[in-house]
Amino acid sequence: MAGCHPEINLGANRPMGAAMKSWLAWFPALLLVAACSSGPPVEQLQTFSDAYRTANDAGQPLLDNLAIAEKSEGQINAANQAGRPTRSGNVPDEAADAACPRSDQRWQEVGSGTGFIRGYCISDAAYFASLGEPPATQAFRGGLAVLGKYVDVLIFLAEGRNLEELHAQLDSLSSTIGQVLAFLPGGGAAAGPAIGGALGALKPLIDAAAQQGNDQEIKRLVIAGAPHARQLIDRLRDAAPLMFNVLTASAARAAVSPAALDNPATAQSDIARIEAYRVTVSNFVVLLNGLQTALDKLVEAVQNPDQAASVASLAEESANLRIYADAVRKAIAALSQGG
Amino acid sequence: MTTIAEARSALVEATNVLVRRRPAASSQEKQAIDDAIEDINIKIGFLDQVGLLQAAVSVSDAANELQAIVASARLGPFDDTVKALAGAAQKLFDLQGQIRALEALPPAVAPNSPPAAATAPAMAAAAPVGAFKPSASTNFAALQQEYRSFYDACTPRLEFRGQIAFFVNHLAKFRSRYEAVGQGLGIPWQFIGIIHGLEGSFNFGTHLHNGDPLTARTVNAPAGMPKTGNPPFSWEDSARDALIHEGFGGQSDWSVPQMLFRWESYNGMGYRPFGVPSPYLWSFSDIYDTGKYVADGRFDPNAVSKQCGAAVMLKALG
Repeated sequence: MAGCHPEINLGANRPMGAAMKSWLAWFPALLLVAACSSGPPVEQLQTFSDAYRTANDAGQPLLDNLAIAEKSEGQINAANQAGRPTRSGNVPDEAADAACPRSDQRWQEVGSGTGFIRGYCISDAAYFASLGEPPATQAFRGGLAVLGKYVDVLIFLAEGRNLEELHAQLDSLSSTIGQVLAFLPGGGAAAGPAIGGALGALKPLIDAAAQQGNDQEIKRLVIAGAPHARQLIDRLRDAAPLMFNVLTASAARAAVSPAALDNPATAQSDIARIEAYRVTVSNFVVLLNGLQTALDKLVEAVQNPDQAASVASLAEESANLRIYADAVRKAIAALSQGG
Repeated sequence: MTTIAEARSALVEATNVLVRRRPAASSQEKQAIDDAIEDINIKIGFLDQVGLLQAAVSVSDAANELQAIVASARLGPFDDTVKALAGAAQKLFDLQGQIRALEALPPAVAPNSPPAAATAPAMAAAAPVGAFKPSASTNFAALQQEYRSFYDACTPRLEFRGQIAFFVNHLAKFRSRYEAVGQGLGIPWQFIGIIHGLEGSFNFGTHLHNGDPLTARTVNAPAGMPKTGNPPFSWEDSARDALIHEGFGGQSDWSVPQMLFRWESYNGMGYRPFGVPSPYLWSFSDIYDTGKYVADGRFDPNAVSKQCGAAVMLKALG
């Protein structure tokens, strides 16, 4: 496609005559660009976008719950790190290389089972603050948001939403040329509307050339961005077990508490909660897998347009995504009802 | 499996051993088992937090790499071409300003002596005979009614409709800047904007006094303006100075006749001895036909103004 990148220069700093001549020179370049246009892989982009939306829809409520769990666990760990005694009065071992060493903050006993952390550790601020989110949740949400931006940029270019700006500039240029000619002696006034009309006729060609520019940028962004997007999806998926551990920490502790061990039937609600989280986290993982697959198909379509997946298979995938989205909503609803 | 995962797995397995042992344990041993499980849970809690933070760092690193790609996206259509389009439009706009500057009316200062008896008939013969013949007076009281009747009768010529719209659009576009200057001086924004269009071609890079650049005090007459402040001047500061210099600041009567009188006085009353309605006010309307000063003090009865008159613009603004 090397021949499909004509250098276009209107000669902005030349006198008006030269500028108008360069318009004429520009015309065949536009024709060439318009003829070269092969179009973006719209279906693959749409499937990738749908896959992202579904994964994000599943991920956000999960992260809402993670934020609560991460804060709660952070506060418990801070107290344990400060040396809060266990039920039997043992002082837990200090975590090595922690950002908040026990020397900076110690547990102050007030009475049996009561006390407070005497001191303050900045690294724990995110767990105690009533503002903002704890660090890991924030990072995971940020990762999903960056993936969303990546999708948005690709869709923005594919849909040619930036052409509105181009149209506004063309309208302004057309109007300005008309006004300039209207001031010229000898029939200039009549030439103004004619030039405006000529620019109007050029619009479809300019649009085609602009969309061609968009398509090239989509290809560049897909090829350059896909390895990083794939890595980010991998990392989010790798984080899923760690999310699960924190989400279920409280229920897991309760399930092996002395009361539960004395009467295992009381642990059933905690176990059910753990299993409900297993379902929602698994849904998230499955949807990340789907996102990965959609990304792979997009890359394939960009690299080998002739061998891209069929529209039928993509439609099937989109239908699956809708089913997944429904399953995700049900699982989250079950969790919020204490399932 | 990571070290954290291995350690966690070992701790969970230890819990299982303790849980299996517990049913057969004595109450004292049960207490010890419960304490041990609590200790293990504390250790698992630490490991979970560390593991989650490590995963978060990994995700952040990957997100930053993708973000860099997203940030590099060129979202402007046509990129360089759009810049070229904008550049061409600006160039044309500048060119248009230059063309209109060439069309600006020189000061209409009548010859020291009115047209002599010998030359007057020739002048009269050459001068256009329009339906609207202005009075030779230069006194506002005497002209007030004339301004009112001319203004009421003024109709834009159809062939200049596009150019009148150009001026009106620019006046509307820059209205807030004219208002900002006019508010402190009690001058309507329309009065300032129309002078700016006629004398400065809507160029905000030059002094309103005479079109000299704002990067220095004026060089042409009136020279050395503004007398206070230091260059480069803002257009607003310079315009304020020019309007005060011309005596427009602090005036209370801004009726249409008074504005027309001030504009005509600003350009010069030199059309009245020739019986020609000033093109500075009436060009592009049916009030004005021909006759204009082509240079300082040189009146050509056949020359036609190509600049939109101030009254025509004012009326078009509504």
